[in-house]
Amino acid sequence: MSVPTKVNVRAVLHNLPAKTQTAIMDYLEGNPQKGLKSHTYKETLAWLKESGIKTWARSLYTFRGWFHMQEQLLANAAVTESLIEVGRKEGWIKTAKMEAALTQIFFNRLALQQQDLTSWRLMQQMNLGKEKVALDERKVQLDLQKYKDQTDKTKAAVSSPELTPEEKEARIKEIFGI
Amino acid sequence: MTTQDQTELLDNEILLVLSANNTRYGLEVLPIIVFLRPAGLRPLTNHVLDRMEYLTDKGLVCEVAKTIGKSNRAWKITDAGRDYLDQHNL
Repeated sequence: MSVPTKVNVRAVLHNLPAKTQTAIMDYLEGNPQKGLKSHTYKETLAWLKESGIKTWARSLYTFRGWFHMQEQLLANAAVTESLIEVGRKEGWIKTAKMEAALTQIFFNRLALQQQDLTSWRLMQQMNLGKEKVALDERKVQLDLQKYKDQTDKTKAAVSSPELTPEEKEARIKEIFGI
Repeated sequence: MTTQDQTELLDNEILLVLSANNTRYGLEVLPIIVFLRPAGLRPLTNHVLDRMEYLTDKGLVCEVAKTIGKSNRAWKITDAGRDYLDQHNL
């Protein structure tokens, strides 16, 4: 359950309607479901300026973190409500006091758990990044080896006294797969 | 940056975290600390608890009903806290 709250008057992005805030985040981070690609802070700031919204990179950065935090907390609140509903139905929540206590606990544990998952995801992304770099390095090494082999074979073909110029040319074409 | 500046920065970031919580629940100290990480802050629990006491005294945050115990204390931002963020363009 969300509670209407007063937003910061001077924080331009925080004051925009929820729909506009979501549109800004879609533009910045991309949204594959809507077929939108991501943009840099610079591009997003230029796009906002075109739309008549003047802000600066630091505000956009702060807003991004705040937006995600808000979304996550609202989602956690919804999950908490569901858990409490189950507890009421199954009878393991008996009193209003117990309900109030459990809602508080669920909500906060979800926030912590979510953050752990975020850290885990970031770690996975970093590991994937490392693997990709290792693969790229391997590919470069293979390319270098291939280039060296081709050069050696070409040198051997060019310096071979047994081959005619036509045969040398044919051999070089063969080495380079032309 | 002086210690006073650092404390003010921490107070501001705590208020920003609490301002993102548009739910009816309060945030406990550990989630607050976790949410402070993206801002580059990693304060100790006792330090944050001290700041929460200070911000409560100033009326910028309020403690939600203590339903369980001391270890499960939780806070929400007040209207005065949001006004503070307004005034400081945060």
